[in-house]
Amino acid sequence: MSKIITEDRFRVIASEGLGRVSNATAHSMAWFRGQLYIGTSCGNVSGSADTPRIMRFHADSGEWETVYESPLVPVNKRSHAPDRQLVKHVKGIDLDRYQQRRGVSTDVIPRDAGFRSMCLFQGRSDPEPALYVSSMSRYGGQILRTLDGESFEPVGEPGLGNPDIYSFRGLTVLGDRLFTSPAGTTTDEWLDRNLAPEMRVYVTDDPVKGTWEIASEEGFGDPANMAIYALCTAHGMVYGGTANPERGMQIWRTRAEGKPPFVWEPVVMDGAGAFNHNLAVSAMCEFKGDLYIGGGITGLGYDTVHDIGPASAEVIRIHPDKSWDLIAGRMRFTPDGLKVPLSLLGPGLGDFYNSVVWALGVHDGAIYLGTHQWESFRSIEIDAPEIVGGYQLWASEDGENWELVIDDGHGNPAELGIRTLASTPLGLFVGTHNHKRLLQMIGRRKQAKMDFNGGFEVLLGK
Amino acid sequence: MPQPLFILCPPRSYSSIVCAMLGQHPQCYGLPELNLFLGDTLGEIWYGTVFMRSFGKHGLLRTLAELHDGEQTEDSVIRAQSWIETRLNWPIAKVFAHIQECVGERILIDKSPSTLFRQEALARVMLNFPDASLLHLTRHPRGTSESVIALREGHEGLKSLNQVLNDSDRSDPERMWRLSHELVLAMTTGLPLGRYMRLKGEWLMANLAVYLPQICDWLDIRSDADAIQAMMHPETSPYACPGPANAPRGNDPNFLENPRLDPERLARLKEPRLEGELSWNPGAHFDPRTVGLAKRLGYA
Repeated sequence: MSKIITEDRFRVIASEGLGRVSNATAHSMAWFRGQLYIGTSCGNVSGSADTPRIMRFHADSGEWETVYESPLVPVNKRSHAPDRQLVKHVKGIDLDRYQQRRGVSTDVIPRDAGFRSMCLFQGRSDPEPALYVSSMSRYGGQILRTLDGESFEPVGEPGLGNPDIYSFRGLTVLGDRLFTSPAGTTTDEWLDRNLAPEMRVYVTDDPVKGTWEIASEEGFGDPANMAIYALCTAHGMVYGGTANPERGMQIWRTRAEGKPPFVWEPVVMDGAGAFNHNLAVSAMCEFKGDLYIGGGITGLGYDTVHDIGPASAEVIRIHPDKSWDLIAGRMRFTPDGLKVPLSLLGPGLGDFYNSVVWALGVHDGAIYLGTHQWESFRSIEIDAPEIVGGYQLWASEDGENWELVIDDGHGNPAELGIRTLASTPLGLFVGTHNHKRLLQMIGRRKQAKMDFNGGFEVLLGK
Repeated sequence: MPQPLFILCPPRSYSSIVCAMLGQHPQCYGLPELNLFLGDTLGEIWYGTVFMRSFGKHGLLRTLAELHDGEQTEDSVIRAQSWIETRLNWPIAKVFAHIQECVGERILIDKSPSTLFRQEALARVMLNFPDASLLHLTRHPRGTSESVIALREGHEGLKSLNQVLNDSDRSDPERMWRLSHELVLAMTTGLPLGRYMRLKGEWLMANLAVYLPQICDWLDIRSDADAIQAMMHPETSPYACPGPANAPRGNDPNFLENPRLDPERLARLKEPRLEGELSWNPGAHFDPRTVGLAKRLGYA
């Protein structure tokens, strides 16, 4: 009997951003002290109504509790510096005017745009395993810690000392060490949510003391690596995946032996032979002894800054000996042999609009994969009679035969992506990303009908 | 009959030697440049373009001479010419089918760069051979362009043909490179799994032992040592030498003069860089569109 949870066994346990529709994303999730925690985010924080939160799910009552809200801080030049990717995507639309229409002109603003990554870790100063959360902030991303799930305190300086670092991603534990990498750059002039001013991995065994050490060479020694996009442990090692607009993503790994910086070895180069159309590694997870890697081009499958794409997501699988398989993507010749997609699914798992594999997770003997699918934007662009599209959830018991579990954003074409997955004793939680606000901005000029919900959703499958 | 293999690339992309190598596989037959897709019928291509009234027709003449008479001589080429002139109404697919019938159960391999001269030529390939295998062969735009310039400078016939063509798209080697590859990418989007494959010529030529077996696996033909060894001798192709006086070409003149693989030279192959001045256009650099496309194809 299949272990895969079918669509009819998923139910929505949170919708419309849990009362804040501008909270578009359930960005991170973790199971801590017997409860689910989610970190929400807002793509464009403009006032207190947008404040992202950390929320806790009470399974017995089905209710959600806010355990942390981003504090409000005075507005400064960084608060509304334009997102350089978004500005190019919505060329011709006055973003400032849109903000004013929403009645936004306050003196204070939420410090954080959201909470990007969560993990459980017990550092040297932690009396017990703590929940660590990384924030996204135009004032420098921070790492928060809680022991009881109710009191969250920052550990370390904003940006770990570099306030231009927007966030940290991939909080990852190997042994008694915690790893992370900077994500995004915040300046007075512009914001880039993905590309960081530092392309390094950091490590600590005591985050409470705020002492992080450099764990890798800058860009793993390749100046073309613009960011370390994902971190994951597998095979007793830490794997790091990069974004590289010149030659495509790279994957490196280390046993993290001795003192940092550690020795990293290359595993996959040149976008796994697809070059820069495999721009970045966006998700990784270990399943049945192999590391599964999802990639793609963030946004709508097109990197506006580097003019790359459009392209669709691919999935590869790495064995402990560094050999790799193509799971879904374009069949090709490579220095490592002929690669035929073992799932027989092409780029985007057969759907051109699946631009990124945003989430990978393992639950009860099956691997699950969540996509970012942007067909709804295309629907508006071509004046389609109906807006269609939305995220897809795929699953496999052997990593090669995949089945589509949920399609079309579970009935809401604004539900563009699955941002996070969490395997828990209660079942598999799925956190989504909703793009209704941006769809409205673009669709307003075309009088497109948008009678669907905004704000993230959380689904529970069991 | 097996489906043919079409090698798609602009001129000077290693296609002559690659076609000859693959063609020496016991289950394949490498053709010279037939240039069949410049029209819908044999008559259209035979009298339709300056290119075909010049040496563009030599490949088809040599092929028919070889297949009909078992030799390429002035007499057999004259007979091939007569054969063509009495079948000018034949659709190109029928001509191709005739060649296939002569060759038998081997995979025909065609590498005519003229297939990328115009969109309609590539469209004819797709229309007439919807199940054919397509190998998109690439080469660094700097290497391609410099090679095009060197070839033009070194061969009087090409120089004068270029003057006649007066085609700005093709006279600028960088533009020819970009338009050709853009065309292939656009026309092959969405093809079924495995029908279209892309390969950097530099990777192939510098690592024949790595890539030739992969190509065999893709085409579902033998990849044993004997088959690979046969492919290492492109010079044994009946078309790997100048033809008779009335059809001397049919392929890249440099290849016809020296069709042997030079493993030592190939092992030293180095890819040039995208940045830097263009040797054939002092003061100029690659167009950003060329750079973007080159990076997509795996060049730095």
